[in-house]
Amino acid sequence: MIVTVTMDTTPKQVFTVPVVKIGKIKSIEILNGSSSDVVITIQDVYTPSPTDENPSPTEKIIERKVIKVLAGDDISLDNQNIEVLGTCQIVSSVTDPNIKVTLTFDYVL
Amino acid sequence: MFRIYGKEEKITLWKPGWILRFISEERKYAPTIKANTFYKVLRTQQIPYSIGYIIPAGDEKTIELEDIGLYPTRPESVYQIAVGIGGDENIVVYPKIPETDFFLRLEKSEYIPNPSIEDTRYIGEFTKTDSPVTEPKIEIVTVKDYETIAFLIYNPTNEDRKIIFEFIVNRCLIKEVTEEDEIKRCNEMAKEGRVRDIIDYKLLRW
Repeated sequence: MIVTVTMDTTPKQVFTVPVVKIGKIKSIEILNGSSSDVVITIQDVYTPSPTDENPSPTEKIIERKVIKVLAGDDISLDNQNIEVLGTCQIVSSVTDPNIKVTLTFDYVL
Repeated sequence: MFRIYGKEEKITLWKPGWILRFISEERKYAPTIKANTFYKVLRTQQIPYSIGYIIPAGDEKTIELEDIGLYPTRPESVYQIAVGIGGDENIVVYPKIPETDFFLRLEKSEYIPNPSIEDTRYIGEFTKTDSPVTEPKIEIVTVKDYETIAFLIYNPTNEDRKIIFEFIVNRCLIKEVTEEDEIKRCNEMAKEGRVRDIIDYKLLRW
């Protein structure tokens, strides 16, 4: 599956992994058509299952990947194999409609 | 009943016409099932069922199979369950029967499974490698009101990880064999190894 999002500084939810699968991001493409350097952060948002020690867990936001892209530059990263357990969201340090992030991902067992 | 199949063995789902026998030293295998008595499988229904858990780093979770719907509520039903495991290969699962006792353990007291101690973490446990979803090797049989069967799930890594269980529940309608001629036939079948014996867990605790 492939999803492209246009970035602003609010987190963009890209996909939510079914509870019976694990998400794997295979490749990341970032087009920085803006005039600023940008830091793109890929986050994994989930609440762990209640456990014997902690029956009321709270939501966690885990940074899975942080990528800096220079102004006017494009980056393409293949063979990533980044694991996502919950909802994948992307955060940008810069608001600009010319900053686009494309993720290729899959759900595995 | 809990059984791990060997590498060359395969779980075969019971079919209508199959004969079962619940083996126990007590008069009853379960409140609604007589021990050492033949039962015939009348009808079956296969129900796939998946469930996933995110286990925090170094943490453990106990799930009782009855709490997640894996015990029948009807006395005339038996569940034959094939358990496949997906997700992270490092997560270990220990069967417990009843829920307070590790089912697979060695006789010396220092060699009872203890997930928090490295030396005994890998006793009596299974992982995704032992029973993959593509070829499950773990079989559990449940009947109404049988002793509690639980899984203790432990994540030994330093990151939160997900485990996924894929169950195939072979829901079987059974009926006690009562006709003398049929009982005689079942006894012959048993001698030939053609009756499926389900062993009470207490017989595996000596």
